[in-house]
Amino acid sequence: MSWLGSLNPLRAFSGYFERHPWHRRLLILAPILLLLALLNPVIGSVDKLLALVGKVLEPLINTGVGRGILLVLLLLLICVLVYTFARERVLNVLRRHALSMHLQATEALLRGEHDRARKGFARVLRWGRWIDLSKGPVSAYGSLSIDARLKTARIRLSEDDVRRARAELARIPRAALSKRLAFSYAELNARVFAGHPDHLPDSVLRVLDDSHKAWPQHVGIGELYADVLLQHGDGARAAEVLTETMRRTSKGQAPRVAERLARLHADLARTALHSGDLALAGKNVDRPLRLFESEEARLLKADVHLAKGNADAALAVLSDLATPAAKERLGALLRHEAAPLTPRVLLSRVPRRDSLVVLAEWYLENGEIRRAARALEVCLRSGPPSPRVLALLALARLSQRAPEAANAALERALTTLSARGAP
Amino acid sequence: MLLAIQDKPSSLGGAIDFLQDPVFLEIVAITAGVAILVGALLRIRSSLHRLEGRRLLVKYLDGVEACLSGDPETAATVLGSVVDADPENVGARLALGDALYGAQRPVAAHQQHMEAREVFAAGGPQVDLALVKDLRAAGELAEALERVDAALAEHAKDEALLEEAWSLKSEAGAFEGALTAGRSLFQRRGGAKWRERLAGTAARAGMLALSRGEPERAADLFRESLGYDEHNREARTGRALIGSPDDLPLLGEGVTDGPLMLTGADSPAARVLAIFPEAVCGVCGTPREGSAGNGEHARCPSCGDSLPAVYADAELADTLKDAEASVDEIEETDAWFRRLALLAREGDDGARRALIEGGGKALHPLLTTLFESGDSQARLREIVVLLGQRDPEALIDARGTLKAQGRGMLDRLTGRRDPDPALAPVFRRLGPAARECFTAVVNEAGGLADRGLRGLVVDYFVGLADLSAFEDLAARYAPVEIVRNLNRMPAEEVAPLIALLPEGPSFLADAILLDPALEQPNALVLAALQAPEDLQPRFAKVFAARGPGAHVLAALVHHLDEDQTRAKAEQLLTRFRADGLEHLVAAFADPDTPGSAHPSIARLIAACGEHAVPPLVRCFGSAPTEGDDRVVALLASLGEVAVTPLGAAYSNQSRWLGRVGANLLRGRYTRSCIVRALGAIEGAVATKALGALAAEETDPELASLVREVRRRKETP
Repeated sequence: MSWLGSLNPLRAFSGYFERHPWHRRLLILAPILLLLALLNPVIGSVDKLLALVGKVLEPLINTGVGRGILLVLLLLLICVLVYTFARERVLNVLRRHALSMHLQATEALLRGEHDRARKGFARVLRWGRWIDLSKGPVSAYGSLSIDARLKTARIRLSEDDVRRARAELARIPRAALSKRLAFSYAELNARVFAGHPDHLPDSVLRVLDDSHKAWPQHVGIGELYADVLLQHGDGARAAEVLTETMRRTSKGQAPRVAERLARLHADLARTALHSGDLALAGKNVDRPLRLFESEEARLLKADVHLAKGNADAALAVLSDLATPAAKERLGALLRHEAAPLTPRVLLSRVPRRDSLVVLAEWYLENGEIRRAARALEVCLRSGPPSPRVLALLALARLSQRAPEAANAALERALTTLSARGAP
Repeated sequence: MLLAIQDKPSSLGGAIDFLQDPVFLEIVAITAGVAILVGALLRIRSSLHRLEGRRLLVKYLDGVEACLSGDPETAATVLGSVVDADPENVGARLALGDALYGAQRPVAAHQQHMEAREVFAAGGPQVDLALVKDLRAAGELAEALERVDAALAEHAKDEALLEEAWSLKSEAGAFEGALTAGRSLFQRRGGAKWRERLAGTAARAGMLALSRGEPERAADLFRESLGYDEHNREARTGRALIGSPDDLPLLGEGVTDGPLMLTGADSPAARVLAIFPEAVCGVCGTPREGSAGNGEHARCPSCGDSLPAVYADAELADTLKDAEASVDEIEETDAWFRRLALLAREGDDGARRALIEGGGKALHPLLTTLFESGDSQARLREIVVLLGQRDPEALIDARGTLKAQGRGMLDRLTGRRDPDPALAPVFRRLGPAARECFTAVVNEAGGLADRGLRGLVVDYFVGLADLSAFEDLAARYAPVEIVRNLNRMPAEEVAPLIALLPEGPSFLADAILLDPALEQPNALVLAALQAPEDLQPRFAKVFAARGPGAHVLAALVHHLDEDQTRAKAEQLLTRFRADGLEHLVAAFADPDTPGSAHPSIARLIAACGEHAVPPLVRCFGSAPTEGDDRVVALLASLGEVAVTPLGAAYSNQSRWLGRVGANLLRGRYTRSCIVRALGAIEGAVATKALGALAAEETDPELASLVREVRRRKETP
């Protein structure tokens, strides 16, 4: 009676009625009952009608079978009524129930409770057999059944169960995929085919190509496809795939793809280098450096220069790198027959302690033990003691027939190593 | 059975009848059906109730799927709006955290994961793992370690958590903790890959225990490591460090004095070097190869990291302060030895040792530096002498090279000096070790042709101070050449040779010492003073033959100053005191002459008698000096023989002007000293002389002085 507003005569009792709802309902029923009492003939007619129905149904009610038949008929009637008047409402309720289960399973998946999640998605799939779960409150997202299958496949993949994951994906009608689910399907399909041992290589390539076309900006698919292409020896196509992915992916992901692409170019350059195709190697080696400045690429550039006999350029590259791998290249430069490097040039271009170790090792290998020992001594004097350098010095002393000095150096190396312990 | 029960007329049979009643069964069936229906409805109602308040469900599902399918940036954007609209959507929050982590925003990811866990009680191993990963990616290692321990206490069997704990603790250097996690994971997974990695972790833990000073614990860990992988290098190194000699290759075995092979399984050197790895994994510190054989980066055998290996000793990448000097040192270039020579000149012992170790190679740069060093040569000369004694041929060669360098036109124009004078002292100190070499040089044609070298040879033989060797020179060298070279040598270096002066005729005595061209008076004197008593007559003869000479006398007088030589000098001067009187008087009056020398000088002067008076009087100047009293005393000690010369000297002081009363001040002080000397002489002769002086003196002050002195003399 709120529509009466301030004219409501029971306004003063509104608080009481709110606390006692049955009293309120009784008050509402009172005028209705009064009206019915005044309509006695009508009620009499209804009563006769009910009595007639009762007489018809009485034989049925009196027997167990009859009551059963009546119950079934009643349920059928209810079902027909529901189907006729509230079918969509009921289906929506059931879809909402399925959605609720789906959300629970999704949350379990996010919490890492894979068993619970898988069971939840299985229930959703069971509901999906009877109800069309592509409709309902999240119809804009897509079919919950498909999503449940995709998520189940994802769980299977995380458990390295590729076959079951593939079984889930195989049951998904591709035509019913929404955009987001199509992306997921493409991604999962790529992973499944790449990881499935029984697929033919061409099938794998075709599926990965489809996945890449479906979601070209996806980094994982691009990398997967590139890896498989590389396995098939198609480095150029792999580079194309990654280039496209890099171009289309988000700014946040692009550096990662660039790094991968740089590695790929580096691999191609290395392959070309090993096969003696220096032109191709040189062409490929500049790309990684443009894309992603990495030590590996720079070392490779040095390798190419070295292979071309351009020691000066190789040295220019290596002078900025202070790692064991760069040191190996410096050693190779010293040993290079076409463009041998002098120790003076090496040290003037790469004035580091590790260059002294390179020299020492070179001298040791050439039998110039005295010079090797001097190089190691200079190295030791120019910084903290290094166990490796001390060990080399011990070898040099041994070679010089100075066992006492060798033992002293080795002992110092062990002491230094022991003092240093773990990093 | 039912029939049997029905037969019994009991309450049980009644109950059975009741249960068999169709009405009852109908009621039960209907009740059960209704209950099932109600239960299903309640369940649906409950699930629908959960959906109440959920907003943006499509976005939520879209975001979750984007996150799971590897599109974290889209997921983060979509889920961000979902969480804003529906903060209680825990799933959305967890997925947002995962998406933020995937988008490399670990701090924001940690916030979402933490809120999901702490505020909305969203537990589970995945959430804990996400939190650990967020903290690790954000660089909060300590907190990540705490979190992973707490998570493992709750989910001890979760493999992902165990793997993360292993990796995280290895990165943080908590290798024993990492080992515990690794063992648990290994028990569940097994496999060679995990076995190798576990061995690496155990070895790292052992090294850490060793550095903490727990060798027993370290030994256990190394044993465990080798149990997993018997080839683990670090564990073998560790065992070697704690004294398992079996693990140290026998050093001497196989290492020869030829070229060394530093790589290869069969190389003994490689076995030694394997204990001291050069490259390690930058993440977990496990020894690694610098690069794989094909030029690719080798992966870490322990953690699988593919980044390039780093130096085990990071300082190896340090820049050298002076690379040029390093090469010079390694190759032992002239520049390096010259640098050493400059340091040695300043007293650097290390440089001195290095130069001596350098041997013949160091000689040329040393000589160059020595030649350019001017007066500060002593330290360098000592080194050159040492090296020259070891290898005199190298010294002669180095001298030849140095000499040849100075023969260019430019050198002549710039007036470059001859290096031989700087080398002469070196050659004189080479000693007997080089005799064989120099004897050969003397006999070589080339040696004879080089005039500078001939001079140095003379220097060598003079320094050798061996009379028989010196006699050999006579065969190849003219005495005049030897004398000329002797004249340029310092006296103290020539003296030892002269001191060997033999009895009778000899090349040294007859051809050298008696040569008037020999200008080495100091050397002669030194030799005479150094020679034993029995040789003194020989020197006396030489001096007699040559005549004492002013220089000899001056030198002898000079040696009266020294306690060691005073007696012999006085003895020699006794013979030549008359000749050396002037020198003696000058030394006597010299205030710098030590007091200990005065008695000897005084004795020698006094022995000259009245002849000593005029030079002694000349010691008095126009003003008082500290030696005046000493001279007055010496004059007085001469006695009455000095009275007449003193009187004459007194008279001579004023010359003829004094007689006419002019020039009164001239010689006033000298005459006063003479008066004092006369006053000090005992006897009447002196008194009478004073009287005569008093009568003649026109200077009133001096006259007064003379009278006063005389009065005192006469007064008893």
